[in-house]
Amino acid sequence: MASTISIRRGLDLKIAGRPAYKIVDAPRPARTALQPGDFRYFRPRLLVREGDAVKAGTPLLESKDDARVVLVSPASGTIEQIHRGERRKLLEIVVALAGEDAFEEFGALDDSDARALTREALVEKLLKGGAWSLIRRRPFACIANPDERPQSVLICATPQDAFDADPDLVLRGEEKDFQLGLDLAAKLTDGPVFLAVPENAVSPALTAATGVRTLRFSGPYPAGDPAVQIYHACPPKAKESVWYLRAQDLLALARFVRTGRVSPERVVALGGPAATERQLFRTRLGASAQSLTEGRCEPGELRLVSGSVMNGRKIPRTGFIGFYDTALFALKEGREREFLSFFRPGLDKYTVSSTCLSSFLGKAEYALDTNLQGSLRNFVQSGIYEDVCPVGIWPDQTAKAVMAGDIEEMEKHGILDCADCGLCTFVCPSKIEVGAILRRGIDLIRKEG
Amino acid sequence: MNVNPIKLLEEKLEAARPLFEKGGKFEIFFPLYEAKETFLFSPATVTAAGPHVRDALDMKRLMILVVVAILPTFFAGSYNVGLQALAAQGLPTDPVSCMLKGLMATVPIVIVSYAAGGIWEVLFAVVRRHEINEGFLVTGLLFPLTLPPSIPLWMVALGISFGVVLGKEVFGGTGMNVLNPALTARAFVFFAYPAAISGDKVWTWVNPAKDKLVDGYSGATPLLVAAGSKGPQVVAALTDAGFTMKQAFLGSIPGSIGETSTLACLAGAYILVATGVGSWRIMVSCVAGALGMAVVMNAAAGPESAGIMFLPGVWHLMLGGFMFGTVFMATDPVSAARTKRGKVIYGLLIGALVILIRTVNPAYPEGMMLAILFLNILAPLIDYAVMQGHFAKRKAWRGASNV
Repeated sequence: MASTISIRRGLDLKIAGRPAYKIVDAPRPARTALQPGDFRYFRPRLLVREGDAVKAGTPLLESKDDARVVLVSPASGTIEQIHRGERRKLLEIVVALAGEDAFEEFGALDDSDARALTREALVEKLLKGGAWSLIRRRPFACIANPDERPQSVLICATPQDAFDADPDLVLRGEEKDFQLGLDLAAKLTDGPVFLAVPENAVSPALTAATGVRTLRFSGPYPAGDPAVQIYHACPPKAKESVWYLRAQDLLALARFVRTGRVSPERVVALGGPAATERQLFRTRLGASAQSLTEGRCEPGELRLVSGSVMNGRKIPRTGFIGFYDTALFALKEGREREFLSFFRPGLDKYTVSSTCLSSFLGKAEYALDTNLQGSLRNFVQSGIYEDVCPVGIWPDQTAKAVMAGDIEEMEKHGILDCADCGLCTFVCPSKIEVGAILRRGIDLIRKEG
Repeated sequence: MNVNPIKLLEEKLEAARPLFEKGGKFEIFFPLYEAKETFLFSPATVTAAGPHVRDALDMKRLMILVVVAILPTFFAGSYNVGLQALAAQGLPTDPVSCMLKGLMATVPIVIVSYAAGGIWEVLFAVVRRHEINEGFLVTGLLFPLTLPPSIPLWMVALGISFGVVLGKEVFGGTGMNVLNPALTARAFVFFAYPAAISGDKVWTWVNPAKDKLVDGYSGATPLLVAAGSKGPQVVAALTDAGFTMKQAFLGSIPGSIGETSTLACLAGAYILVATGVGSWRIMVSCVAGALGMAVVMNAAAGPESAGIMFLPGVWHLMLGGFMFGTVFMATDPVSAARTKRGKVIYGLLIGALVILIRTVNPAYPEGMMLAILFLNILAPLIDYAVMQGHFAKRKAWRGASNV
């Protein structure tokens, strides 16, 4: 029996550029990359050098904190470039694809053998093949700790927002592997496995799933975010953790266990006001953005976002799709200046408040760009942040606790529940990066805690 | 040749930018350049990271909306200043003369307030290297509206200087201040020069030494009349003095420039609430607090009590600075309570305290300014208490959760 959870707070993103509901094959990318920045708090030790030949599944990085946790190459070919940023921080390990995929073999299992695996054997196999990195934990949204037993596991089979690849479509025909994934996930915890699905899910992979507690989520953005779902369904108790995987990651995990090979297929949605051919593409993990955007976006200076436009990562035109991301969002860089902007009634402006005429006319979609829509000021307005916060935090008060460095107060505010959805920053009229301040607080707790 | 003048202006401004940026000739005046430039053109800044798009509301739009909401009280108040002055001299009170006469009194006061306060704003922005905050557009207009029309202009300049510097900038500027800067400015004038801002001689813009006044002219505000009367016949006393409820509502009574017209304040309240800029919670709870306290005071009044003790709550709402303070001063988001429940408590206490000061404190016939300033100081404490409740609720929820 599925129960429904409605998320009340959040924001209906009235942004133009939703992708069409169909999947097409994208051309094979010439390069893919592994980006250590996708893994929070992961301190990488490099295992390869530029020019090395690698197979799909060859370890590229291991964790300095736990050498069992490795990140593997998403493709076979040669290490074309190891891209470092400031203070030699590792940014990207670019793999140039060569010919047919060659795989590192970690041992295939048939269905019943896979289901018969003990927890220890499963964990060991996942760690070896790098599939462990598909499993994340809350709090902290980092790779799960193999020595820990989570209070429960949540499988997030909802799209992050209206611009994301919808698992309800992606999982059609993948029922067997997805169910295997759910059964494997059940081994990881002594508690329940929750399956979060869209309110109107129809795909049998989701509706006929067994051995899990299915939760139908409805509501505005970010009702599809696993952090929000965990907060509402199974928030981790003190000192406990909840593990989670997004649907395509669980699918990849199940395929890895069954075939013994890393499973790099991913379906990624291309959307946003500056994308001209908006739909879902069957492509690869860490694919170059260009392989999707070439000829499918408007000309001019664009911003590409891997993940959601609200909290995804800005990538250059030559960048790569993030490890956990299943959406690519294209929009114009908003460097146009508007004459006497604040005297205008604002018919074409998008605001949550009622300060523009558009607020009263209810336009359906706005072709937003990246303009900041104002300049940085001190905190003034209050009460608007908690109106959009999906996890019941008072973001402005919490941000003040962070600025004061008061960990105890931050925790009382529930800062660890922050889903990093970006809405508090979005609505701030003082243009303060409220969400970034909260993240700084979480980092501090992680460091001190 | 067809040249777009707006485009030209934008290019000129852009060309001047290096002069004001780091290393430029006029580097220290960057805040001035920034203020002027972003006033004319919305900034070209783009988001650095997620969220990659932003809401269209910024501080400029927010503050301009507050100014728009204040304007009805400015015009209604100016009209009334003219009306009172002409009537006191027995001159014809046609609308045009009233408005012109009134503006002659009020416009210089507003200009001096903006100019004197503006100089401090710019000075602090330049010295402390931050942008000029739009909040001053509001402070600089609110303060003059709380003054009597006969206020000497140098007091306006001194008052706004005190308000801006000691009420706001010493705390770190907009958003950091504890007290409402406009009210701080007024409190300074009120305590430093009581003769210029209280009593019955200041509320009409006439010069008793030069102008010939009509017989029976008093100049006292209704609150003074009510405080001075004895016993339960207070409404009759007001009517005898020539004050009807209709006049109090429309604003044709003596008083501070912007505070007299309840109707204009309500128009402002409508704009603030409809756009979501002003907190309806504070406004509603202020009114509720005042009405509640008035009922208590009415019940507590004995036959020998002052007339003001008997004054019905509805009258209190329309007299003095109550409505102006409720709509524009108490709702200042910086100095008010920040939490939602805190706002309700804050408003209720302001409303109750105003009536308390008006009725039982013989020294001050009006209590709005003091009530709001007092609650400004208490607001962080209220928020603290509300937050403890929030923490306890979260903790209890955490314990009970898990589907």
